[in-house]
Amino acid sequence: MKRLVGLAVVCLIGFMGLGAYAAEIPVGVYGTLTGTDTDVNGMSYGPKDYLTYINEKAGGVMGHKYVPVLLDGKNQIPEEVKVFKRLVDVDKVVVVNGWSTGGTKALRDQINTLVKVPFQAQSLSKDVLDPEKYPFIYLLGPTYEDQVIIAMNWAKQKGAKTFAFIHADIEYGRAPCRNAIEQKVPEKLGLKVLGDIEYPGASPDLTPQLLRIKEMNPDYVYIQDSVNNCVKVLRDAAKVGVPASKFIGNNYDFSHIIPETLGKDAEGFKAIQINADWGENIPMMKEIEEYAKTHTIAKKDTYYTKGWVQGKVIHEVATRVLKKSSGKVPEISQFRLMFRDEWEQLSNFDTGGGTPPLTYKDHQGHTQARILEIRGAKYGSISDWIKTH
Amino acid sequence: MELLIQVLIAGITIGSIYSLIALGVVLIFKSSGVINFAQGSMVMVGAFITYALVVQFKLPILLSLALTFLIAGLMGMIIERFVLRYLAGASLISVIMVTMGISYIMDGGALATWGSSNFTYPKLFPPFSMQIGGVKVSSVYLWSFLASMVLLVVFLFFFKYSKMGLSMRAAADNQKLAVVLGISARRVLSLTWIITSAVATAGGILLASISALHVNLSYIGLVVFPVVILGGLDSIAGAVVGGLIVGSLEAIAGVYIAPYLGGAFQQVASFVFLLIILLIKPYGLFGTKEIERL
Amino acid sequence: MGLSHRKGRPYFLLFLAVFILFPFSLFQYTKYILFLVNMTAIAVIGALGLNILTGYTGLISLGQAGFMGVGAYTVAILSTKVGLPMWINLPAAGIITTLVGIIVGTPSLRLKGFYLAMSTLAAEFLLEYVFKNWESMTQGVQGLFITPPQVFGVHINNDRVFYFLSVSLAVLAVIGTRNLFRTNVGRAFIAIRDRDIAAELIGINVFKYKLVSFAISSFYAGVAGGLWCYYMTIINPEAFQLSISIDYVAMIIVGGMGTLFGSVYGAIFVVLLPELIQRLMEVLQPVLHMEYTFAAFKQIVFGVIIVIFLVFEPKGLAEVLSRLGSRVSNRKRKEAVQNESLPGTGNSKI
Repeated sequence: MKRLVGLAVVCLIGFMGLGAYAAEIPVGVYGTLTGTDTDVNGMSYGPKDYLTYINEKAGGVMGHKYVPVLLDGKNQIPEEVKVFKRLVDVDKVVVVNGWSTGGTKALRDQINTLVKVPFQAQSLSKDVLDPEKYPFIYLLGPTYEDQVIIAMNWAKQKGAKTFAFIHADIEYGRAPCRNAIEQKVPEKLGLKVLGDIEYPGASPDLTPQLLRIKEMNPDYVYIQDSVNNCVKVLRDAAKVGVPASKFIGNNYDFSHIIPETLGKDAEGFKAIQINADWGENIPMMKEIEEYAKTHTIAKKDTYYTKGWVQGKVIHEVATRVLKKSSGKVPEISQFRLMFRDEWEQLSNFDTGGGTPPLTYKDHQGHTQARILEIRGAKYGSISDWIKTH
Repeated sequence: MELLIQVLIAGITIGSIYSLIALGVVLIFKSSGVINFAQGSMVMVGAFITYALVVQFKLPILLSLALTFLIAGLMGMIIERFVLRYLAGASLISVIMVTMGISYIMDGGALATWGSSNFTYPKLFPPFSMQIGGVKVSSVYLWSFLASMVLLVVFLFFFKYSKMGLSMRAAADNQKLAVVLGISARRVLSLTWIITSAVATAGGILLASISALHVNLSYIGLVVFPVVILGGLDSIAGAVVGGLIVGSLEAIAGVYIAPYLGGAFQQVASFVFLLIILLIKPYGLFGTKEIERL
Repeated sequence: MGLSHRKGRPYFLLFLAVFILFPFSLFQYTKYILFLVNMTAIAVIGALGLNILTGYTGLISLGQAGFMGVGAYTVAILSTKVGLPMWINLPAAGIITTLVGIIVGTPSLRLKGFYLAMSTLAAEFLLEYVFKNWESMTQGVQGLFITPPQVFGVHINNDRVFYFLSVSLAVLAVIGTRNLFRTNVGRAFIAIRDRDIAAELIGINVFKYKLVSFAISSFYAGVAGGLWCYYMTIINPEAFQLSISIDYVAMIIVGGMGTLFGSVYGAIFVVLLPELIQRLMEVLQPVLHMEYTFAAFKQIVFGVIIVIFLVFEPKGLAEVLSRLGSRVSNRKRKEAVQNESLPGTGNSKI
């Protein structure tokens, strides 16, 4: 008994000692730094790096420096909940840049009712986009469901009659496809959905699923999964003789790894783009290059640029709040409420080419997407920026 | 019918890679009674080391391969020398957990060194492929199949006829008695781990060649356990045959059963099959029954 | 527990005071610490369950997470679909999980050692599969939400309220386990672990007691899972994966298999260690510079600790702490003996 008490007390004391921030403007970011879907975690490094960049370049916002805190959510809900609580209670962050659909849903009460903190999710699920029910949650771009609709529209234009989905057996994979079918999108377009094929996310071999696709023979197949599994799908498609040109992926399938790994087996594959790629000739890229001179950038890809845009949004909103409070950092709960209000009023915000101009009235920065196709081992656009609604 | 053939071919091709990796697990067990939960990590790290030598240090391919096997062997020796040696005779669960701990260390180490992105694996195999029954089988799978078969024959002979092989089996069976007979248990153990590490590396190179290189490759370590059980923990032939069977099973389940049972049944299929086998034959298809004495 | 009431009482009262008053402190980190304590309490219950099965009875299980999942889903389904209150749901979670445990346990009992471990691994994957695909009940990968019940007008998943519930249940679980091993049932478990053939010979119905062990262990896991559900308010299959099962095995190994407080120490350790590493890394951050590296370091350190414990201290923290404790009490005893030396001989030090 004694020993137990002693141990507990030691632990608690040990805790209290370490690391509290004499914070200026703390900003919380969490993402999958280890675990599955780490291939797109550039989006978590982006905001942190941007805020560091602003700190260095302009001394923060009106003399107040940002303190970005980047934590690992491991793409597991309990871990994300833990990390969120830490950011909100201990580090007292003004805004949280979250990650997964599941985690965001789990935290909905915390975010919107119990704690009331503005939250920018990486998830693009329709289920967390609701300005009335979830006034504190904001998304950056078109939802997965929007992207499916764009893909189907495009397929229809090309004269397709049949369609299929392929995805992993997780929420991220199932929900958008299911939502699209429930909303009768294919019917309205006159497309017949031949099948909705699932695979285990960690499986090294997807040939059985691709054999089923070959049997079904749809005109187009939509891949609702990210780079890692997209590579496997295309690889095994080539194995059984289904051409890559039948496949359309979502915005997380836009990665140079795909043509690099698969070579000519990736020719004709299409993906959706919702923000600028790394290395595009835009003003925002110049900023990143400037930052890269004195810092190592963890991930040089389109997800990092997405994160950079998110950082910009945070900085812009924070600036507006501080202007309203005459340059003084408000008390934390007040700051969060003001932040949320300013965010909602952000409109036509220019991100230096990173994305189309952002308007957050409906809590969704923009609803445009572009379809890209791999030709000659590079992505090239085959459509204009399409608005989804 | 044509679909079935394609399914079987698909299954056998991935199965040959399972065989190779399962072989490593069986080797360790056969020689030391240890069940290696770190096999998947060894596979992954082996693949990464090759990648590092070929792509990052830009060494010629053959030299890189030779060096990788050397380093892998060294790794195996270190694991044995500094960890497993102290667990001789420890309970099963301790052994399982220690290999899991090693697996965490290796996974973490790979993550720290190379990060969490997908890497494009260098093209180590000639890009030719064969059309078998409508399925394009690339040379990687052919190599893998060949490698498993060759290793199968080699190890069969090794354990049955060679002095070292017999010593290993003796040491696994009864360490004290083996020492009395003049067999250096330590040397046997070291050698086993070195060989397994090398086999794992070969598996890793093949695995990474058929998909991208990522730290998640270590998951394969779990997937091969149904193979090991099916074939019997101490049977090399079992590991090879088991790999092909499990691969085919997963393929069949993925194509024919999944539409009814939903989604990702193929992953569970091998474990369901495993349970059924265990109910009928508690020591695996080809395994030997453990005789317990008081 | 070796303390005479007179000596132990002030400590006990102090402990009780801290326990009751702490959640109301205005300390900055309070809510976060409460969160950690709550997670630890849930882990303690789960670890106790696993220790009964693996540490005391010797049956290796890699399926603890799956059983917790059954408990969690039971609570969620009973709350949302049937609308039963908490004081029915939690025990029900335990009971349903017990039934599942018995079903899983039965065929496994012909199997030994590694094969048993594999069948529990298979059970773990199967349970996860069921959670993902039995959509009419579990809503699949979307997961289930519950509205947490209210106690005196405050939601149960409020950190403070939950704290009282979870810690009390954890203490109850510890006491229950301690009493279990003072009965015949508990001793039968230990006999089975040590030499099951011999146990059979002296008349213990090994098969029956193995099943009982599975049943009790699953009950604990189910209750832990139910508590989890009430605290998180959303559960989905991804929360009950193999890595969680492995965490629990790590808890009982690091804590001490087959010891009562081993489960507690192990649970505390496994829950708190990542936090400590995180803080340490943050302090070193200006020197180290790479975030994903310290996410990887957490994994490495976890692995190293497991290996170190297994190589140097296979009996776990329980053994370490009890050795420390006995060293302290030995010293006290020695001093007491010295001070009682016979009159006339002076205070001779040995």
